[in-house]
Amino acid sequence: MSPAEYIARLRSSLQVPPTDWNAIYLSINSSGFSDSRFHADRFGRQPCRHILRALEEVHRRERERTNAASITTARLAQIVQFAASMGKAQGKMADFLPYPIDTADGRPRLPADVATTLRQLIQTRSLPMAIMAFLMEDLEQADLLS
Amino acid sequence: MKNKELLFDSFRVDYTQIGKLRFRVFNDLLGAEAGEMEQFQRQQSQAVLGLVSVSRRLAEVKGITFDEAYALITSGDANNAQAMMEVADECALLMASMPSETAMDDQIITLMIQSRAEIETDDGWAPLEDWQVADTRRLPRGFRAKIRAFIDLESNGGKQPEQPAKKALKPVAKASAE
Repeated sequence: MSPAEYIARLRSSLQVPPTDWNAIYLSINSSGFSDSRFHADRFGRQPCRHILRALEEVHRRERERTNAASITTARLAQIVQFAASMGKAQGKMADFLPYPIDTADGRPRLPADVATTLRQLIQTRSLPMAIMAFLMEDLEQADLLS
Repeated sequence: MKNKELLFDSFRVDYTQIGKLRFRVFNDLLGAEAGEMEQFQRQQSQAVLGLVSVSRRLAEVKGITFDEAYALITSGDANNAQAMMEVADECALLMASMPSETAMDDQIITLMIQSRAEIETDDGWAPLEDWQVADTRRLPRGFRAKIRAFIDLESNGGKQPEQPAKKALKPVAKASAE
């Protein structure tokens, strides 16, 4: 590394705000993460990689919770878009969620209670065909068509 | 395997022995240590940038190269005091803000001992959580150096750190002269 690069690196490193350990502590401990090693009397005595891992997990769960809370709105938005485009727009529900889906295949998982309800509706033949067609992707994914 | 071991990697603790103390090995810095290190590194970065800035100004004022100005300021030679009169105030401010390497070492070694070290007692190994900076200052130099080497190893993920290039700022003169 040349001295000029070294100086530029020093400057850029100082432009990054210092790590806010209070914010990290609050993020982890206000999320329901109950591992006692992250409590006030022990915080800071874990390897950084464990703190980062906990923080990643907390953020992942927050994203999941926010997405779960937005599923109804996202579904409604999808229906409105579908109707407004006279059936031409084939947007996915995931496109209307606040965060990208974290599942391995990138597709939203149907919440367990919703899957149970849908299963009952299908078994009792109470689900109209039009709705069933609209939910085909979700039903297939939740293995409800077999 | 416990759930926490699924989320984090192994919780098995290894130790390394330094003198009569044993230190827990994580191949990583602990949060508190990383926070302290980051603070020192920021202070050092600010000090180096301040030094570069004062050296540039001295070079302008005296009509010398940056290299010569930098050497004047960092030599610590009392005979150069007259030549540095023009930047004396800035130098004084810089020196006041610059953290001493020994003070930084005292802090980080103390933290390391508080959070990781254990000493053998009749009842087994006991932590040294009440260790103070004053205790660190009483440690022999060789022992401090061994702890410092262990800190470097841990902050480098358990791998031997590369030796820093000597006189890293030396070629600045070339860069500024071009």
